[in-house]
Amino acid sequence: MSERGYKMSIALKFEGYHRPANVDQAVKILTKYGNNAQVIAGGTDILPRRPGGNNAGNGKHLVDIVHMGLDYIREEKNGIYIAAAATINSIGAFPLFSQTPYLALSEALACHSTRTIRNRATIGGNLCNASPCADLALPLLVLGARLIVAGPEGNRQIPIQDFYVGTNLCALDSNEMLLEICIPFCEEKTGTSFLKLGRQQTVIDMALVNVATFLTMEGQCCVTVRIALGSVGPVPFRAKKAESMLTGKRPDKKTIQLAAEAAAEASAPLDDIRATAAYRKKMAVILVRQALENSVRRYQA
Amino acid sequence: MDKLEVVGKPIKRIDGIDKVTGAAKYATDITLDNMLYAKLLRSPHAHAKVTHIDTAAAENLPGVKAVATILEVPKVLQYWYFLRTGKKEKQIYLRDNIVRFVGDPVLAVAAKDEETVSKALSLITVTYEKLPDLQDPVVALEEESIKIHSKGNVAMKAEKEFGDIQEGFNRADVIIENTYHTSKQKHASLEPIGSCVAHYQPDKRLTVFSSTQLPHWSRHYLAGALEMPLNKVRVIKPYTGGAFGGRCGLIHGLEVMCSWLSRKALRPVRLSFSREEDFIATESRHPMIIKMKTGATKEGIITANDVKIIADVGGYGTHYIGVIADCLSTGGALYKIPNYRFYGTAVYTNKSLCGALRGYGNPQMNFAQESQVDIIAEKLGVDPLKIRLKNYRPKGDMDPVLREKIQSNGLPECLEKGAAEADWDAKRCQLPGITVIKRGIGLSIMLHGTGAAGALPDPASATIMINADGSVNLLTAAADEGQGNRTVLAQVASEVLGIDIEKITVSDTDTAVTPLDCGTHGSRQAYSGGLAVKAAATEARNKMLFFAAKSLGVKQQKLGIKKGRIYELSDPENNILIHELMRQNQIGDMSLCEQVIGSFSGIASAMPGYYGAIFAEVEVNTETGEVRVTKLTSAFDVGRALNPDLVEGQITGGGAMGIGFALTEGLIVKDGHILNGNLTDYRLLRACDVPEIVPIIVESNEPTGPFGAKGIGEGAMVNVASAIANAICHASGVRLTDLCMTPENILQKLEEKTA
Repeated sequence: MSERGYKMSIALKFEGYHRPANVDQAVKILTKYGNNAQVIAGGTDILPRRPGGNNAGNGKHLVDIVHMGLDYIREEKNGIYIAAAATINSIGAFPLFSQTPYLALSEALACHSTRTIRNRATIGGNLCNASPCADLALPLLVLGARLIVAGPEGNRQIPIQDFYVGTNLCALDSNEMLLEICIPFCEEKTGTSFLKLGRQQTVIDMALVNVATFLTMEGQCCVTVRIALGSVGPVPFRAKKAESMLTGKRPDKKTIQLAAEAAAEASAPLDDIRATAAYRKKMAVILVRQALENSVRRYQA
Repeated sequence: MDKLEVVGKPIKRIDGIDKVTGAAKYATDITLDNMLYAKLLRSPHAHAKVTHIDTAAAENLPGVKAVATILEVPKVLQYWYFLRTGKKEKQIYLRDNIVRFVGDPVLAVAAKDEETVSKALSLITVTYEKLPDLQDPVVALEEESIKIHSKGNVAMKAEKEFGDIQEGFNRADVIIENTYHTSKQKHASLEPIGSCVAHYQPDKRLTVFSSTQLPHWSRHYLAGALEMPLNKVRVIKPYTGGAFGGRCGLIHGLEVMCSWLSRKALRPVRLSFSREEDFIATESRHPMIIKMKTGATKEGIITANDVKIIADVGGYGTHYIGVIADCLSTGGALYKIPNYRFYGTAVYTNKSLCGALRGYGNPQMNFAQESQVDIIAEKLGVDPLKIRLKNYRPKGDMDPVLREKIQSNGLPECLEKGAAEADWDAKRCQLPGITVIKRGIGLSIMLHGTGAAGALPDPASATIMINADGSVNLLTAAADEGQGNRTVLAQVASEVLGIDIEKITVSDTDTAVTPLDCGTHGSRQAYSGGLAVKAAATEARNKMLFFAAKSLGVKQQKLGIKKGRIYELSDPENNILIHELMRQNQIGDMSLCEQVIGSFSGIASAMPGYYGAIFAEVEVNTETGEVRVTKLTSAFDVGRALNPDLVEGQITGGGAMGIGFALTEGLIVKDGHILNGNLTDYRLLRACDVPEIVPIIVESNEPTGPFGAKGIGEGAMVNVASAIANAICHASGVRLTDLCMTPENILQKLEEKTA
């Protein structure tokens, strides 16, 4: 029996680096290299990867999209459009997002990595990397965002709940790239919330569990309820059954608790070195409950 | 001596500018002409016999210059206690074909560039015969059919008793017994452990640049492993990015392998470990299982402590003797417990090897013992601070292990000042609160030895040379790993010589230039190094005064030195500048031509204990089980702070490392594989995670120390975990006995409590 010893880590190597000036050029390059192309923006996910890792990207052609003017955030009549290469900090500074309906988004932005990394990291990267614990996926799931994608046949739209196909796998074809994200306007009083649990004593960490909630009411009863969970399954997801348990109901302590338990029941976390599946599931209940309580409080404020 | 001018002042680090401008060169920065690059091939198995190594294809690859395997290159084990006799030293070098942990080096290749090395490694076939492996030290202890080393799996057994343990328990009104588990903490220094450049020259001289803590002992081991005379081996330690004990000796598979390749190729070779290699294959803290039974009277007088330790050594033994001894000496001497029994067993397992890490065995021992003392205090309803004041071993008492009289002990002042800063009395009485977040405060104390005089060969040396322009060269092998001891030693020299610190240059750490020094371990350099520099500087000072006396026509005893000028004490107008006197002596007076040189080599007269009290404030989230340390107040008796800024730096850094030990760190090993061997998964505290840490310096003036100084480096982290455990118990009512303390653990205990 013979085996090779431990693999040495060396810096990642890439075959080519491309800097398209516009979307057409970018799509052409993507079409040419297919699965061998890798879109890069801030580089904060790709550059720290080690060879031999899950999605190391060795040998790939990097297609850098930060010089294409894809860094805008603007309000249009049917929603807010955020370009794929807008940095996390620039989105956080957009005034509208500090208003109540969008607090889940600004809370997630503030939890994303560190201030320094947030100057480079982009919303497109956070979404397309398709990590199960991507912080931004959750507020976008509950806000009902749509992703606008460019490809050889022109643009198409993907609702965010259809965007995540599997762990580190999104619905983009190899010749497509994410162009922008559209967040529909919310009713003024909408109560949203984002919560994240990392390892203890840490200010910055990948989530063990992260959740976002969205809630509107009429009188004493919930009208629209959305609950999204991350890090507790292969992809970030909406807990539809839990949502329906609150729809049309008074969000009292017991109903919220039952909905939170149902949300956690829909999760399928894994054991890993950072926490056990059982702990994650238990924490999902607590986080969903607290996020729902925040949402109700914010709606009623 | 007059009022101190330099010692005790927050002098800026002498290496600060080099470091912040990037001028400082570390071992991996060193590039020599014609240098080759080397890498190791490591074992994928936890325990296996290497039956065949086929290197032919690799050796035929253009650019490959040398291959060395464990069949020819010895491993270096044990520590410098074994250098005392030639017979003992032989036990240090092991040459065999067994790999004992995942990542154990099998061979190394040197080639013209890194790509060629990687290619060559991929062409090598190693045939292994897998052997059954042992991961659990308790199993390894009993298992006889699997032997990790030829003598078996028990590396050592130590037993010590003073007083009468049975009598102690007979007198006790309360007896508690608990078992504690501690984790496999990693140094995780900023510069990965393991980088060196070796250059063997055709005239049979070997020069090795290595970021070692112990350059002289490293030279000794290298000379032994390569069977060379000491004077032909030169070890140079460049700047180092932190060590914490990880560089306390030769690094497994590093310097010897690199030198071997260089000797084969007759070219310089660089071998540097990656961060992942640092994590999986260099030393770590010994995980321990500590069973402790403690008895006390109802007045809170501790009458007996019975300690049983099993230490997990890993695949190879390096420092286990010292680590076990440290558990006994720190645990047994901190309190005046009259009846003390200690069993220590060190066991081999097929995990990565363990060694020295800041605090040696003390953080493990302290976690158990300080938890026990708090449990007793709680059972008796005594204030945890008062029970410590009742039982600590004060100045004037004999240390029962070292058999030395304690000459300074500032613990009461540490407790008093710490309690005032932390507002102990008020916070300890506060209720934890009615929300899910419970607040609490806890404390613990510690003792750690300064240096190892008497326990280990522990030499220190220094040479001071005064130049014709009044500037000074200080030659010392006191390795500075980043803590700043070069600055402190320059301060000591400056103080004694009366010469401005700007005019003092501290030598590189280079065994060809600097005389014998034990190296940097055991919190010793301010103390032992300081004593050596003080003695060498005093000799130089006296020689200067001798010459000045002749020149000024005054008796030597009537002279003083200040700011580069030697003057008559009663008539300061009668004076001479040092640089004028030195030029005259060395060059001007052709009948004299003498340089003033002072030197010292020897050992400190004691191994004084330094003491500390830490007050930890925590919040425990009873829903998530999370703990957040909100503040540490760390009061340490350092004898005298030679440089208070550097002492505060040690206390703060130790606090951060201690919180990591308590709450986030520790290697996770499954089936012999380390699962979190990188800085993403191995969670160190980052700057933003560190809470407020208030350092308090207490000065008890140690009579054997230079200007009253003793140590600080290790102690600052020793009792952080115990203080946090005690605070968690105060906040939530649950007692955690395993490190690191996880939220899941806390939740489980909370559930057990309510059930």
